[in-house]
Amino acid sequence: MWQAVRENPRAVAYAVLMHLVLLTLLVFSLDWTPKISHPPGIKVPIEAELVDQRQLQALEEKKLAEQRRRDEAEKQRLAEAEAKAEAERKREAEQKHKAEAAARAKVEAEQKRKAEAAAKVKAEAEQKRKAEAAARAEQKRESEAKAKAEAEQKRKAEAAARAKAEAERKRKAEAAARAKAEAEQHRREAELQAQIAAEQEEARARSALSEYIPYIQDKVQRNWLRPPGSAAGLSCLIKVRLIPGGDVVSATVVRSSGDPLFDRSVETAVLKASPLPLPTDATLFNHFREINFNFDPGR
Amino acid sequence: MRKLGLILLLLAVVRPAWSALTIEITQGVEGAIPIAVVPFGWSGAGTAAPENISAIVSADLNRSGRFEALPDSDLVAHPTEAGQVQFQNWRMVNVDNLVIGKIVETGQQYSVQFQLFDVFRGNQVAGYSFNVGRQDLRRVAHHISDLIYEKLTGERGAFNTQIAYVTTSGSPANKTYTLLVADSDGYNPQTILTSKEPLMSPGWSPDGSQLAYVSFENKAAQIYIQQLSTGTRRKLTSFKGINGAPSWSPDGRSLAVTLSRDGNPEIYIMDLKSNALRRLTQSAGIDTEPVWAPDGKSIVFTSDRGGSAQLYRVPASGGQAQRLTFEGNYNAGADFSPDGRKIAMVHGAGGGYRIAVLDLGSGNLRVLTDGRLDESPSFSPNGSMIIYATGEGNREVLAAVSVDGRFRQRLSLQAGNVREPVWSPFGK
Repeated sequence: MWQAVRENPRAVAYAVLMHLVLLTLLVFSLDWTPKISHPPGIKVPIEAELVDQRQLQALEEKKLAEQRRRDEAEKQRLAEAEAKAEAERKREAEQKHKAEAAARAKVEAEQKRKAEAAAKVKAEAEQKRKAEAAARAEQKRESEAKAKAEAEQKRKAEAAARAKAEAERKRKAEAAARAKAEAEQHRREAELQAQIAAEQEEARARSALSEYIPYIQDKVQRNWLRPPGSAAGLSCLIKVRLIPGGDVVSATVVRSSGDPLFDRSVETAVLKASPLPLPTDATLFNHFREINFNFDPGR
Repeated sequence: MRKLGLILLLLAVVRPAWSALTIEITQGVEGAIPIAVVPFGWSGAGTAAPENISAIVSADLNRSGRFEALPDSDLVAHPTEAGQVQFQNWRMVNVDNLVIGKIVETGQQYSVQFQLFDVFRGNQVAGYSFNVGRQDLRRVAHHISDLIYEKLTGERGAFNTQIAYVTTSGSPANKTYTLLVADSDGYNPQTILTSKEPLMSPGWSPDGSQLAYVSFENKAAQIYIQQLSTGTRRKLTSFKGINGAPSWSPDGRSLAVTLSRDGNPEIYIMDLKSNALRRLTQSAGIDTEPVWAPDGKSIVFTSDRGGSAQLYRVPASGGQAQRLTFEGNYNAGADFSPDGRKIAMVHGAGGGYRIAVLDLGSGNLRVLTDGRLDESPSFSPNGSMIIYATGEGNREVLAAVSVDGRFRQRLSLQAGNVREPVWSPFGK
């Protein structure tokens, strides 16, 4: 309502003015009725005249009658005025009512018009909004579709790249696996060969050892001058390093007997036994590179 | 092939079973240590030093039985200074040790220098030099022998010690008895006493400063004690009958002797301060030749109480004697080894008298000599040798044997019969 008023200030102003005019007319119409003089309270100067009682009475009666007639007339006139006023009032009320109704109708029509205009504006705005929304939606849909299409394209490109990469990777992995398997096989073969060689070598070494240990042992024992009178139960472990040819290059006491003379006799024994008898096959030398001698006469 | 070699090398490194080849040595050679003693260089008047020190040292070392000195003819070189030594040469002749030295005459003094080398290690084991007068050159040689012996055997050497013994000379009608003290090799004899009557049973005081002996100079056996440095002597016993076989206690305070003052030869202990006598044995047989155990707690003596001469042991404080010897028909003349574990004796069996050693721990008897008439064994103060008298032809001479019996040698070239040798204690 207030919005409607604000939206149509002129119409409202007219309406208010009309109301004021009608109200003014209504108020001042009362004064249009004729004015009755002598209000009852006012004292009219009396002209005195002596009249006998009867005369007087008669006079009085006459006066009264007069009065009564005048009053009746007045009364009638008043009634008529009243009726006339009433009619007037009725007419005016009717008129006012009609004016009001007309004003009201006009206001209502105006309101309706305005409402209709507003509705129309609103509808138009709505329509416009809808159109715009639709346009936006369309635009959005289009851009989305485009994006989607692009994404799809990208996805496809990526998938293709991935697939390609995967294929490449797989190919490489397979190649690597193949290479690895081949290498593994080579390694196994080499290992097997090495193992066989080692076993053969070991067998050869074992046989050389079993053949040569007694010679070495004998030579050392022949060169060991046991110190007489040394305590029973002495033993000494000595580590001997050899060079090819059997020469002793170092002799180190690993576990002393506790008797320096005993230890020295042991050291002298291995040094005197140098060169120790070794297999002529030089490839076996590694087995004789380092020999521990446990001198233990208590055994 | 190189690759294979590498693999093998790796295997050898990886497999400790092969690299830690261990060989057991359970047997060795029982024998003397081969040593070369090169004649010492000489720098002085004349063509040679007054004493052949290397010969003295070689003889000492040989006599001990623990060493075998290379004969001079086998010496491959004659270095006299360390710089001249080629160890390889000495390894070739298989000697473990090498001794070189030189003697330099400086006025009345002699500078003696020696070095002992380990041939197989190629290093010096010992080296000393001494400044002495002419009369001490032999003593220095023995001292060098002691140093070598001690370095290489771990035992104290006993070459620089002395022996006391008695000699007889002259015709049976005109015999001369002499008590002598000589170096351990029999050289350098010094007369202590000469008598026309028998001299017997010399015995060293524990400090080596005195000798106790039996002298018949007064037509009867008497026991004397004589100070070696001054010659002063003291008559200790002159009881009726036998006064014999004096033996010093290890603490030097008393003397165990054989006396027959109570009728039968018995063992007595005499206090050297008070001359108080304590009788130790009570038997119907002859008890004689007492010797103290090194710990002073017991005395071993010879007794025929069992029918033949055998060794018995009795506590020094007195008590029951225990028989020690059961092999052979004669075991007498005991001497304790310095460690108290062995007893040397004259062992008579099968008609011969030989030197034998009884191991007190095991009870085993070992005969060390093969003479016909060996007598008076006496241990060297380091226990490695035994000196004794032995019949040679129709006379008696000094001989020494190593306790393992491996090495025997006649000691003295002195004329006359040599009897009752006793080895001195270690010198001060």
